[in-house]
Amino acid sequence: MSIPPAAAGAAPSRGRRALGGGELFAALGLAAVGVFVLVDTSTITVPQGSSSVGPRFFPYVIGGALVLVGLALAVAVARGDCGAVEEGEDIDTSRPADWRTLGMIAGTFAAYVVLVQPLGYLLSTILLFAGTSWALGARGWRKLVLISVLVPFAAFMLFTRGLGIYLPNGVLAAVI
Amino acid sequence: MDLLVQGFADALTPTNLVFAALGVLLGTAVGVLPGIGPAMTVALLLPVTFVLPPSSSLIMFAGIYYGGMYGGSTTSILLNTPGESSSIVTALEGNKMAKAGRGAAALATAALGSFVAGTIGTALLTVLAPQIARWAVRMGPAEYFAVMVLAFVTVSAVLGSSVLRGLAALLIGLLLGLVGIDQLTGQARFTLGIPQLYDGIDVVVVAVGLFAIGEALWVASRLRRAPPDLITIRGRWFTKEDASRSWRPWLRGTALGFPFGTLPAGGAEVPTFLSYALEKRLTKHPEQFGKGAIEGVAGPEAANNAAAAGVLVPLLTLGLPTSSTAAILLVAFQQYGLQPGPQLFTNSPDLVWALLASLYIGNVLLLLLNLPLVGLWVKLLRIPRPYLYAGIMVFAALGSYTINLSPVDLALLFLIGALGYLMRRYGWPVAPAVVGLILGPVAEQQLRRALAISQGDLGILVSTPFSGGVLIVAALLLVVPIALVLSRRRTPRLAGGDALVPGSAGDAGAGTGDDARVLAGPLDVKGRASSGPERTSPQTPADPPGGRTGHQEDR
Repeated sequence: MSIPPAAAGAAPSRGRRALGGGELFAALGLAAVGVFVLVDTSTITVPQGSSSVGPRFFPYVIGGALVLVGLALAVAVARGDCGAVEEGEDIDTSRPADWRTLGMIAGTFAAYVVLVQPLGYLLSTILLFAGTSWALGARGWRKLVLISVLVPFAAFMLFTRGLGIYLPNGVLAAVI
Repeated sequence: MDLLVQGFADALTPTNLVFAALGVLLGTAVGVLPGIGPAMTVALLLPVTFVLPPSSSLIMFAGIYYGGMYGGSTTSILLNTPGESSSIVTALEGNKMAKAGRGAAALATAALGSFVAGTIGTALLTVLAPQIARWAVRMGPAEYFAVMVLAFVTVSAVLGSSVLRGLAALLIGLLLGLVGIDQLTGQARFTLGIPQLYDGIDVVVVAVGLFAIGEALWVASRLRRAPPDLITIRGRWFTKEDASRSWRPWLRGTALGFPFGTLPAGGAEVPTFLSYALEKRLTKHPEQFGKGAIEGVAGPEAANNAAAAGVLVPLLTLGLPTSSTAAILLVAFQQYGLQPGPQLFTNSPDLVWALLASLYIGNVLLLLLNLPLVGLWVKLLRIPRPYLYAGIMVFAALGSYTINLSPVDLALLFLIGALGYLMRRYGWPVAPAVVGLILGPVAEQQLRRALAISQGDLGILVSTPFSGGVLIVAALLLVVPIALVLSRRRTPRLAGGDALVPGSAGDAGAGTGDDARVLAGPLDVKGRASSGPERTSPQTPADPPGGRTGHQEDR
């Protein structure tokens, strides 16, 4: 959005063409999901003696619409129609996707899913916060560690003590 | 009237006042912050419905909703980067004013205009909602279904930049809403044999995944490394001249915004464009437009707040959300076993009137808190981005984890976040998916109820003038833009160019406001090469602060 004027002229056309390629797969994927919905709908049991419109009708409509919209979108994309990439103040649309950062975040989150129960909420969330900040470019150890401890701690206290919502705390359960 | 007085008595208890204040502060903060908006914030806070009484949490959520509208204008004016899509227009003149040293006046007219419009809008809501509820009691399932179809179409096809992409997003939401046990027959649908899916995918997980995780991943993949370019607030505050130039735009903006909000053509975006165009036409200082005209801030800001109040009319009286924040508010009601709709006014009058009263209070609180605290809001914008988005991830995970304390929900959250990332990458709007997810199951129920009455005859859907008419409008809204695109594509140079060249001074904003949004995507096919430069110029005399943000609204 607040792209410097010089870049604004050149970047969008180049950037958007590069981004358009994968959408064909996304559109076809949508159509494929539609086919799956149609097939899977036929396996839904219809109870005897129920009213004329059972649990299959709406899914059939949605499945059919998914196929239609997916194919139409695929055709539109193949003809050169490309979506407007969502912009934002922190987003530099002229850059290619930074897969290294995304990979680190995905890895951190996967570890979080695995560790949240054995380690408990607080410890694992500190790791999630620190890992994500690091991946996004936070440097300076003292600040990183301090904030990564404080924010999850504040969130934990707010929810457990402030709002009375239970959060299992694993290994720290005896301490806090 | 007695009911409203009773409502004030309920809303003015110290506890509820604290929750109202908390709500407007949180709402303003998330409106200012990039990456999160009121819809996501309410979604994250849904767990509080387990511990708070309904009035307190709904009052807080309403505060977040109104506060988010206020907060968006601050970033528009000081940063030229609208926090919400309904503040896009505010940035046009507001940021120019700030650059010319009139930032304080721009913030003041935005805040005062929001207050005026919010209060008038709330008053209209108070008067109209009970009437409409009384009338809506007579609506049958076929009528409900028709209105919901209209909402689906407007949310997905009319408001976005591309009809097909909006529909794709809507269908994704509808499909996610199907997962789980069918409410009428108890059959499992699309659970893929995973036991955790039998209860359905929790709305919080989907909403927070699409909005928060999707946004965080999207930003992470293309993080701008340079710090934001903030303008310091200087200049005189609101002068007498500012006031005399502002009050008419406030009222006109309100008159535009409220009706648009009430229509299931939802969203606060369109009326802000219309208001901008209107003020540009009526102004006595046309030379200032594009350079920082106060009317261009006053009108649209009033319009978006009035529309925010208007959106609550269909939500409370019909149970029909027309924006993603309204959809999440609907979920908040459902958490308490309450179904917004005509019965709400007869079954839980205490709650409804306390909520309505709290909207007046929230508006006053916003006015009192906003201008003095503007320095604090600006500081929020300086939060280093790595910590901001790490915090968003943590709170998103927290909101989803508290539902069932299940790591499966967390995994699902990340997968849906990845889906949100892809949707952003290809310009598929997120809001239709959320509305589809929440409204889809209700629409299916109404449809099946209608067809049970008619014993399977689809004719019942168009059997009354009302339901038939609404469905025809929905069909037209879907077909006309596509037909327009097709007819323009045949003569792309001529038609495309004509429509987009700024005609008379006034029609520019309005025409392109809608036009460009509906047609921008498809038109790009051939239109860009020939009419590239003109495409941006009419809507915004200067650099567009994000004419294409589409459905950034309430993330």
